[in-house]
Amino acid sequence: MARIELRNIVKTYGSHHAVHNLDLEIEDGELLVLLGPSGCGKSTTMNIIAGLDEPTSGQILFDGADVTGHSPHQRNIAMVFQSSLLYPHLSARDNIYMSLKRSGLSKPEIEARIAHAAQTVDVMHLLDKRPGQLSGGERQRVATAKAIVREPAGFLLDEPLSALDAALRLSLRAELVNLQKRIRTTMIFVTHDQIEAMTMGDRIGVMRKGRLEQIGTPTDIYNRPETLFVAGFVGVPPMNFLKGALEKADGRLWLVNPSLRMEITGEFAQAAPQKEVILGIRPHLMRLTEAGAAALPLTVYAIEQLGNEAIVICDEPGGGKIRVVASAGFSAAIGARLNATFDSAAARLYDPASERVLATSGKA
Amino acid sequence: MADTVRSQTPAPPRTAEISTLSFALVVSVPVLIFLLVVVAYPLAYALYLSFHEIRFFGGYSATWNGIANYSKVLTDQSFWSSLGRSLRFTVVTVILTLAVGLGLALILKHLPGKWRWLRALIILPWAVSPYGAGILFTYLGRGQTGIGTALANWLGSEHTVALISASFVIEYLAVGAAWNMAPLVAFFLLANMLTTPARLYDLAKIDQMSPLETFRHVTLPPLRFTLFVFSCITTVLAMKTFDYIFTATQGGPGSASAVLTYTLYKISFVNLDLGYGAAMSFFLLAVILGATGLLYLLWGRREERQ
Repeated sequence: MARIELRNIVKTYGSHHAVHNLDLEIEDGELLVLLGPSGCGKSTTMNIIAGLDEPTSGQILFDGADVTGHSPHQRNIAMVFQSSLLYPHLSARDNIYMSLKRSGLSKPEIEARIAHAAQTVDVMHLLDKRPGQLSGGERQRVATAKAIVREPAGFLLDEPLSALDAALRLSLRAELVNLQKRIRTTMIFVTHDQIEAMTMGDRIGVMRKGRLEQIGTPTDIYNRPETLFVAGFVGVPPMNFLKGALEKADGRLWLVNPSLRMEITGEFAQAAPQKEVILGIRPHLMRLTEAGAAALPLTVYAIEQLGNEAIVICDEPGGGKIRVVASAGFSAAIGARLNATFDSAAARLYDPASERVLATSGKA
Repeated sequence: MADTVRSQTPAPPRTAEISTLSFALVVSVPVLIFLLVVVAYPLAYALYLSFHEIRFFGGYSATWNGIANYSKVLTDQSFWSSLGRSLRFTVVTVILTLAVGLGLALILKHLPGKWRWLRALIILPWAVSPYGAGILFTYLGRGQTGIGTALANWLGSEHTVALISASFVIEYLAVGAAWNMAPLVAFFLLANMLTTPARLYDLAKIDQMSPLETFRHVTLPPLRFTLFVFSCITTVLAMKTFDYIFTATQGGPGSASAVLTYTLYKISFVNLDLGYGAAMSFFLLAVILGATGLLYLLWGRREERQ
């Protein structure tokens, strides 16, 4: 277990920047999820933390000590790879043993550590099987045992669940979180699946094109996304976006576009007027209503019944798609006209040029 | 009711589908017949010859003489020495072919992007016929034209160095045979190597495996079956090598490279002792079957279980 710090990490491959000036702190015993689409630099970041890749510049610190030039083994990290990679010709026991071969422990100690790790993830009965004889979930458990047997300073997981079927993924997700809390190890989990990120992480770092877009608790990331990318990437169904202008009238701030005129209240009420803004609002915070100036006219495109609620997907006059969550069983003909509104205090405003959230007061 | 509905919908045009087995038969029966004619018939005829004494002088005659030919082989000094040379040639060839093939495959795997085309080029030695390889290695091995003398001169010596010498001609010929065959082995091994996920090497790094351990636990496992198969193939090819040695050394110097196939050739087609040659050739067949069978028992069974 260790506190892991990344200071100004840069990684370039030729002219390609895989990671730009990344600063990151992972607390001791924390589960941090690095979330982002493929090619965002999250796996490179993980390789750099592991010591499999050297950063072009920057420093990595474990508990305050510089480990930038250290090998993975010296850093005492453990890693679980995609599809829970194991040595295919070795039994589960020998696979786990390989983690301790260089540890200098005595034979009885090694035996005891293997037994303890195997019990922790419940694979005692599988120790004499080869990876090829194990199911996806069993392989995942053995790979986890192989990782924790080292009592690592950092436990890194690179999309370990992405090759498994949905039901198994669901149960292993909970299992991993439960394990991480029980053994209180520092864990970094890389994924492109935002549900995995939301459900597992103590904190989530959202990455895009080699930069950290935002880092925070799942609630923070969901409710207060700081960039358009984070707003659009996290949340199911995805956030709705409306284009418009911010205008000041009667001492109040209004969002205006050809089909809507709505007063902005709440934290953005003091934002500076500007010609183009993007307003983001979660589908759950919209409701169907009567026509009016503060209501958005919509045309039904499709309806998804989820059992406990229905998602009404609509075309808005500006050309985009708007999703509104309605009560279960809601029905309307495709092409039917509806109106929807929302409380502007729950909406977020973004600058289309910088793709960042607007300053809440006009001065900043 | 259901019947009337069915009769109203036009049946889709039936396509004649044949089972996998009948397809396999259709494709392979002509080949099997061909093999019967070109393999089984000569084999049976050789068996017939081996129990007869064949004479060409004073008119062709075949006289039944039982197992006399076979027992004569067992007491023939030249048979045992030829067999020894064949085995020596085979062992060295197999080891060299697999080692060079593995080395080549490792080099080809790690070629940087702009040198990948070498992967295609490396197959060229395999495209050289054994006959051509024989001529090539004769010139390379001779004292006057050979690479030995060239190297010696380059190092400042005035000596001529003949690589084809009575004591090492078998090993020298094995080098040529390996040169001919190793690229194919490398190709198959390379294909196997590329199936190993790159992340397995990262796992080995995390476990701090030494390069040797990494080779043993990561690189080698997917290659082992291919290595076994090629050890069998190369064993058979080396045991039956004739054309390459015929063009390279004609069994010389003296009889230093007269392997069993070459001795057989001399008995059957130079001395025209067809019955005796046929009997001896069955010993060669037995040795080949025995060697591959032994390889399978000692090695192949283990690979199969995985």
